[in-house]
Amino acid sequence: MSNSPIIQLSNLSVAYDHQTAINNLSLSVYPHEIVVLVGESGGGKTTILRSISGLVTPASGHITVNGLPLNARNLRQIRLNMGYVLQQISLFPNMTIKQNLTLLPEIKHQSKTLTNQTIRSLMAAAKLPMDYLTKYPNELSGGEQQRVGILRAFGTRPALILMDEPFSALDPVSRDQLQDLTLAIHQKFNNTILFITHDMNEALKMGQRIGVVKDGQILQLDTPDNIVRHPATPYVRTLFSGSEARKIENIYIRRLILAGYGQPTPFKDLPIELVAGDQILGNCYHILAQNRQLAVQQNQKTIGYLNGQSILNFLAAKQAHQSNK
Amino acid sequence: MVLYGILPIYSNTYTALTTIDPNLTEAAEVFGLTKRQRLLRIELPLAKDNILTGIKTATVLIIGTATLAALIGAGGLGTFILLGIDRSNSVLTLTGAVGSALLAVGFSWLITRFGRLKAKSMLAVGGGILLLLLIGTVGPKVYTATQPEKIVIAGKLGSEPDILINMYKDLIKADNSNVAISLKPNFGKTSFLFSALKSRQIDIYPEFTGTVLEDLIPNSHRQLQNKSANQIYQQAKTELAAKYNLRYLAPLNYNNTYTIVTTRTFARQHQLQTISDLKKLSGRLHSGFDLEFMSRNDGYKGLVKKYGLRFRNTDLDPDLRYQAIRRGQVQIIDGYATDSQIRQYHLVALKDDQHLFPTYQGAPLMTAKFARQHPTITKQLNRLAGKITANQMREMNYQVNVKNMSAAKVAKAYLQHHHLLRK
Repeated sequence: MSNSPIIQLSNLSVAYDHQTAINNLSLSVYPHEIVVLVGESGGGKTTILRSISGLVTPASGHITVNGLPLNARNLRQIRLNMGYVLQQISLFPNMTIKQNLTLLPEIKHQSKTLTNQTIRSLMAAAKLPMDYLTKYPNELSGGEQQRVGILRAFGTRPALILMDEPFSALDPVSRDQLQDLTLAIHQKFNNTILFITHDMNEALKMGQRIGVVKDGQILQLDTPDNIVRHPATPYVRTLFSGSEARKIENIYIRRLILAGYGQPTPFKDLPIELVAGDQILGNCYHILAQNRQLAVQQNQKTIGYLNGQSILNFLAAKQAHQSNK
Repeated sequence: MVLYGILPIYSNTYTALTTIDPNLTEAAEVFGLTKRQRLLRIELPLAKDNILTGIKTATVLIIGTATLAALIGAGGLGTFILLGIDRSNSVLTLTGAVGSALLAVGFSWLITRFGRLKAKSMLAVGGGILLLLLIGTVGPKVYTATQPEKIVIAGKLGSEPDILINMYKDLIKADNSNVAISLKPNFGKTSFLFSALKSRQIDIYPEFTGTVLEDLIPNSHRQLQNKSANQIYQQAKTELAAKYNLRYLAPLNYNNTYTIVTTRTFARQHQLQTISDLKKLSGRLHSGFDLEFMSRNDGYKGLVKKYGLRFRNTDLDPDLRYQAIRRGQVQIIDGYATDSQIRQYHLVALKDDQHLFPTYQGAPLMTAKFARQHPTITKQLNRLAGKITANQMREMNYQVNVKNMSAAKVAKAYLQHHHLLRK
């Protein structure tokens, strides 16, 4: 985080019909991090995203993306170097999946070889069969369509990806899978993601930093741990209270990032918080069932890998320990 | 007609482009597509089906409407329909109707096929069609501009004008075979031909003396009844010259006026020769007059007033009258003196002994300027003056309408037989 920010909002204000939507807001997003903006609907999260993508003109303040000030001259350049995943998915229904995926690289004049290579690896990462490429969007399920929507955003290997409540319309299982997919691809391409959600669990799982947005302002911008443990305002506390323990668990689930890109190493140590309750199991079940390898991270560093079976073993040992008490 | 077609195309295109999911266009915008790229890659492909539907609707609409073009002499399949109705020939009507239906289905199919093409071939095919259209529109104009003067002779719907204009052509050609003549048979109805003549789109067409005074230069103060044929012609000629600067050449012999028609058997049975003879059957007669005849002073009202006749009438469409009398549904109908059906269905025309019906004599009509410039043509056409009796005309109509001979052939045969044309 020592580099210069990839997104810089300074004293940004946006108004719709004289009604303030964003009020003197500043935010810096640094290369390679995932920042999640969370808050209730109408708080201004989406307006922030629309400002960065040039769909909304701010009343005052400055926006720089990738070092370029956002203005009419730079707009296209900025947009071409930015991925966007929408809640409404919005795959182009007149194009096949392949055409949807190649459209943006084509417009950027990216080489065909590179595009095809990228698409292949993305399709593989998303566990989508290659024959899907010739299908049309309406032949796919909602979850599959949004999977393609994510791949489309990554297709040009942009430095920055904006995601506007991308999973809120999906069923819980698809949502979980797509969160994992996003994290996995992020780990591979190492780009910056600005992610918007109203789901606190999702925020805790996805975000390396979380910004709590209310009334057009950011109340607190911090790591998930600090947001939960040291909420800056009573509002932040209420937002993340009620199932606090569960939220803390989610912090660690977020750090169990799908492996698949590194050599699995044996599980060595596991933070105790991971197993503070049964809820973890609930959230991890589908990963366990498929017995995938999980990487365990602490302070941004991978400290080891584990598979579903080793988690089950650990939990069994933990349970035995508790009943001995 | 082009304007007519634009509406469905425009409205469908507009709807198609404005009803595209705004999320899609916004997505395309955020992805950095330029306006042009958005239109070509997203909006037009998405709107394609609706736009094509619009074109399809327009095509079918135009093909349907195009049959009406026959009314103004623009030709097309509609001519078959109108002729078919005119001659009570359902085969002709069906040919026109089925033809235009097939044309509509065919075009509709082609457009659907066109819609399935890839964008590039669509562009190529569309461009090709536009180019052909352009050549088709501009080409003839360039071509005709370089051509020597052509004399255009037109005729109203039906076999009789067709035969007459063929005679005109033969006579003009006999004098000077180098004259280029274009015939436009079945060109339309009276008012259309009259305005075409005034606007110099056509040079000559045969018109009836009665029609000139009744329809073209109407004047309610004029009294047409009880006037001799010559008086009527002279009056028409003078008024045409004064009002429109037109030249009306000498009329033919026959009087194609209204006539009261009955079957030969019925006439023999009741010894009917004149309209006055109907008096003894008055009140017991079942007639099938058409609506126009019923409403005219020189029609049914005149029959009642002048002859003191009374009928039980069924209003019939002009083209159904002959069917009705043939089937015995009515005993009396109105008709025109030279209708070929009179010959075809063995009917007789009763003599208008009290001179109720005004005279309708055919004569060539042209602009005064044209007549001045072509003295030999007027001279040739005037050779027809006083020729062709009602019986002869009826016979010729019969040959064309029923025997399916060509009007040109029938016209030539008449001229040769009567030594107006060398064999």
